[in-house]
Amino acid sequence: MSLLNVSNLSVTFVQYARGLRRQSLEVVTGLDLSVDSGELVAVVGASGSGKSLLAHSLLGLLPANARESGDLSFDGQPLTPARRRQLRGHEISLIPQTVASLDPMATVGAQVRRAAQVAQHVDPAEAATQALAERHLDPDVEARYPHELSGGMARRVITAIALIGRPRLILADEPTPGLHPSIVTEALQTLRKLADEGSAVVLITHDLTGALTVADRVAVFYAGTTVELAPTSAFTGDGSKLLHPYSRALWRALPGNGFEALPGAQPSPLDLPGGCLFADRCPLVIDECTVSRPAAVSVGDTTARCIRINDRQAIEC
Amino acid sequence: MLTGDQLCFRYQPGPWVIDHVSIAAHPGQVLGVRGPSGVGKSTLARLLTGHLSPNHGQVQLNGAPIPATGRHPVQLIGQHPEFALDPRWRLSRSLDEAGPRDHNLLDELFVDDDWLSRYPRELSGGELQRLTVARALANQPTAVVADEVSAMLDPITQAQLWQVLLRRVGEGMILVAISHDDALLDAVADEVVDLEAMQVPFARGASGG
Repeated sequence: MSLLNVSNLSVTFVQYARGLRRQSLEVVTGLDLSVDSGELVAVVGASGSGKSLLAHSLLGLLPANARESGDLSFDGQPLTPARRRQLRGHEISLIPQTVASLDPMATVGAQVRRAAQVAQHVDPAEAATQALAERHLDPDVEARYPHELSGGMARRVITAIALIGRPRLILADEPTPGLHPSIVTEALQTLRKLADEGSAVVLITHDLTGALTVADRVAVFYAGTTVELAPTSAFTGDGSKLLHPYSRALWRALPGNGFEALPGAQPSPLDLPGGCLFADRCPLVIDECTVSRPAAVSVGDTTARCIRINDRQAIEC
Repeated sequence: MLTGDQLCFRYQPGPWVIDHVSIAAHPGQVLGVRGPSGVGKSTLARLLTGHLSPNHGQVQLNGAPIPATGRHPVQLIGQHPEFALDPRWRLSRSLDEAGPRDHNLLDELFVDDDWLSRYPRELSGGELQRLTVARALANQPTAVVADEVSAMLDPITQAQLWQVLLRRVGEGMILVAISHDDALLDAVADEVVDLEAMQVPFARGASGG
């Protein structure tokens, strides 16, 4: 049993479209993830694949119109809504994507001390200074406002705040795209170090190349479903070690791996197909694929939601 | 040919962001521009597409200055489609701004008809970026400057957008591709220049003041 287990998570938003016409958006359907202490799992997929919603769900931050089902457990106990509220900021912590999550009107010191207070440190001022020092920031940074920080420093400050409660599970939203590559590399290496020191780390990103440099395993999301959970070593060569056709297409679309553009787009959450969500774009599709949602099947240390796992070699290679 | 000759630009008051940069992009070719952040890549993109005017130097298309009115023959596509589309307009209105709809182009970009009746906040970044590309290409621009257009996209959507852009280049369009992603530039560009190395400080002499 891993520290965090997410099994068959579904999230539906109920909205009123026009007047009293209700519509349901199936934004997450059949999402699986497990992370253990000391492990870094990257969650990759296109925007709208459910990556951020997973984090929001684990932190108990889904909006009131969200309906959720599935099994979530943390440290062997069910992760109930009350327990999520209790654990967040302490045992489960989020490193947000941007500096926009800092208060522009408060100094860095005030914000880190506030986080230390929430995390119930006996001496918040001392804990704040120490947290910043651990991220290689001098005490004089405490007097600065967020706009006075460089991109790299801001990233270290939000990391310091996220880690001040000594979380056992860290959810990291990807560093903002377009940030200088050295800042992104530093952010990824920090996450790797945290995992090596015993934390469980979930890295949410669309940057497959960056994720592969630090992750132990990769969860590939598509249209709100975990299509594959594979060890990082499966992302190699022509991608034939990957089980799901979407994971292979993602790998082969990288500029260095062929730059192949699989046609089509993710299905709309307003109108999901009844069968496999990837069926309309899949090169291996057969009639059975459109009948029902494929269950997760394991081969070795890889799990995928595809009924054609055993046929893939014969057809593609 | 799209040329910038001895371009200089600064945001007043401030240091020179673009300092005597000369650049030339040819029809049917992709000119890649790389450089660390803060070196002026996005400013150069805005100068080439007429969103900013240089303090010195001139941007020319096929040897002539670009007319200040009418449809701009050099289109800019940026990194953040959510800033390039009016949040209060349905996407059909933003798209139709560029003229009659090109349904083949929308199919090429895998744009779903349903998206057009929605507002920008209802679509993902990848879906919105397909629409800004569709709008930029709607009038067969002579040149396109693509400034980190796929930095926030997953690899498949990135490859799809670049295939559409490269197809236009095959038909003779000029494309300037700005990115910090060397693997991407290696895959798309015919020639790659480093903006930092192209800056020529002090060449301004007495006129710099």
